[in-house]
Parts: sequence; structure tokens; C-alpha cells
Amino acid sequence: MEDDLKLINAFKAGDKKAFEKIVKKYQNRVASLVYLVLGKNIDNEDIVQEVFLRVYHSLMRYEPKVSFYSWLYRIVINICIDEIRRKKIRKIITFDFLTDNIYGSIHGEESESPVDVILAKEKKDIIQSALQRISPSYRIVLILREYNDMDYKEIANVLNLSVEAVKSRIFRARQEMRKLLQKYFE
Amino acid sequence: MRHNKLKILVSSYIDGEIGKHEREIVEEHLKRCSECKDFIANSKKIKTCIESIKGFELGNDFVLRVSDLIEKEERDEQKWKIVENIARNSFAIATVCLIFAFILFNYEDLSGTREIDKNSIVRKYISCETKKDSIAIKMFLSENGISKDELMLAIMTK
Repeated sequence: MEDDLKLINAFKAGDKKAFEKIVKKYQNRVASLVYLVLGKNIDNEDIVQEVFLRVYHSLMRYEPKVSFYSWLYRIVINICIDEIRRKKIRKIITFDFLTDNIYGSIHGEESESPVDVILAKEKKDIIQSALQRISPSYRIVLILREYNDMDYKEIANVLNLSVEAVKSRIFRARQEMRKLLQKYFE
Repeated sequence: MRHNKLKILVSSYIDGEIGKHEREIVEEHLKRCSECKDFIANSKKIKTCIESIKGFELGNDFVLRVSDLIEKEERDEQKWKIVENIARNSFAIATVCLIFAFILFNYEDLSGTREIDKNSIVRKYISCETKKDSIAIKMFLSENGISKDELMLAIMTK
């Protein structure tokens, strides 16, 4: 947080290189969050660019009442929600484990056999598909909790919800994921 | 406590987001409820899978692309400001020219109109049948900006 504040203050003082450092620091986290929320999408990189453009235009108004990454994730989620509404993505099933992954790379452990690597990839794709099938409002809280390891208060802050609402949504998200993945757990 | 409410507590228990008293209630409940035990086990599996999803790694040139976009936006903004300034100045200059032209072409009328209007006002007043005592005359003169001499001249030349 302190490093972020130093960079932000430097940016506010006119140092544009400070903004580039912020981008470098957070670009992969933002891209991962966008990927998890929206699924594999040809526009994902454009969306990440849009996030950082918005950050650039809003950073002068940032005040350290909330952590920078909470503030940043709020921007990411808002843009993702706009994108979901725009494209009306409700249920996307991506069964593309048979094709190359253009946007990311799956790094298997060197000790794993090729079969294990494929099975691991398949499992991840199934989870990602299930994520895309649950309601976006549940998906987002679950990702912020399980992938970004944020606590309920932080999630409530990012999404402008009460902690009780976050608790309820996480529970519903887990219920829905369980229904979709039931046969894999048996 | 109803089972539905307990389930939400169980979910929060997984994340360590409940108080001591609630934790005791959940742990006691888990001794008897296989459904909630399964829920915890499955939720942990889902968590492990989500955590293992490899995120995206954007290349080192991503920051350059963002910087280029910002520079392009700023250049476009500058261009629009110049166009806006030219438009604003042109509008102001055109307005001043129009007013100037209006004054120039209507100067004689503007300067003569007042006299013509005054005369016609006075003639109407004189020909009018209403009471014309000194008070009425004073009010007429002050309301219309006409002097006593102008009124007298109009009466004499009527």
C-alpha cells in the first residue's frame, strides 16, 4: 500500500513514469480478474486497456480512504459489468480445452505426465465454464474471495454492498457451483 | 436456528468470517449434518480449482500500448481544443461584426426615430380628449421623456 501511495503521489506531482510502474505492477492481476469474470474473450486485452485508461483519468481524484487495489478492482468490476450488460453474456460455455490457449499459458509441473497436464487443463476449463454459467453477481464475489483472497469487508467495499449481502452471495455462488459440478465431485 | 440460515453461516465459517459464538454453533451443527459437511468439502475443492486457474500474463509491451493510447487521447484533445477556440472566437467576431453592421446601416434611422416618435406621441396626446391638467401634463412629459419646450412647440405648430 505504501509503495502504491508513493507512486500515486509521484503521478499527482506530474511523474508519468509513476503511472507506467502502476500499470506494470497490476496489469496481470487486472487481466486475470477480467479473464475470470468475462471468460475467454477476444476483447479481454481491450478491456484491460480501458481499465487503465480510466485509472489514468481518475487517479488525480484518488484518496487513500480505501486501499488502491480495492479502488482499482472497483473500476475493473464496473467495466466488466458494463461489458456483460453490453454483450448480454449470461451463459458461456467454453469447452476449448481441445484448442490452443491464445491468451494465457498453462504451466504444468515438469514432473507431471502429459496426460496429467491435459487432465489438469480440462479441470480448469470445466471450472471456468461453470463460473461463466453462474449469475455474474455471484461469480464476481466468488472470484474476489477465492482467487483474489479478499475478505468480506474488502469485497463489500469494492462492490458497494453490505457485508451481509456479500455473505449471502458467496453462499449462493458456492451452491450454484456445487450444482453444476456435482457429477465431478461424485 | 433454521437450517437455511445455518448454511450461510457454514459458508462464512469456511472463510473464517464468523465470530466465536457462531463458530461454536456451526461446529456443533457439523457433528450432526452430513449435508453441510459435504458443502464444506465441495466448496474447498472449488476454491482449490479456482485458485489454480492460471491468470493472464500480458507482455512487457502492454504498458507501452497503454502509454501510446494515452498520448493519442491527449493529442486528440488538444486538436479539439484548438478547433473549439477557433469556433468560439469566430462566433464572437461574427457577432461583433453583425452588431456593428446593424448599427452602421440603421444609424440614421436610430438617431431620427426618436424625434419622429416623440412628435407622433405629442400629436396623439394633444388630439386626445382626456383631461389635461398640469399634473396630467407633468406625468405625460416625465413618462415619455419629452421636455416642456417640445410640447409647447408641438402645440404651436399643430
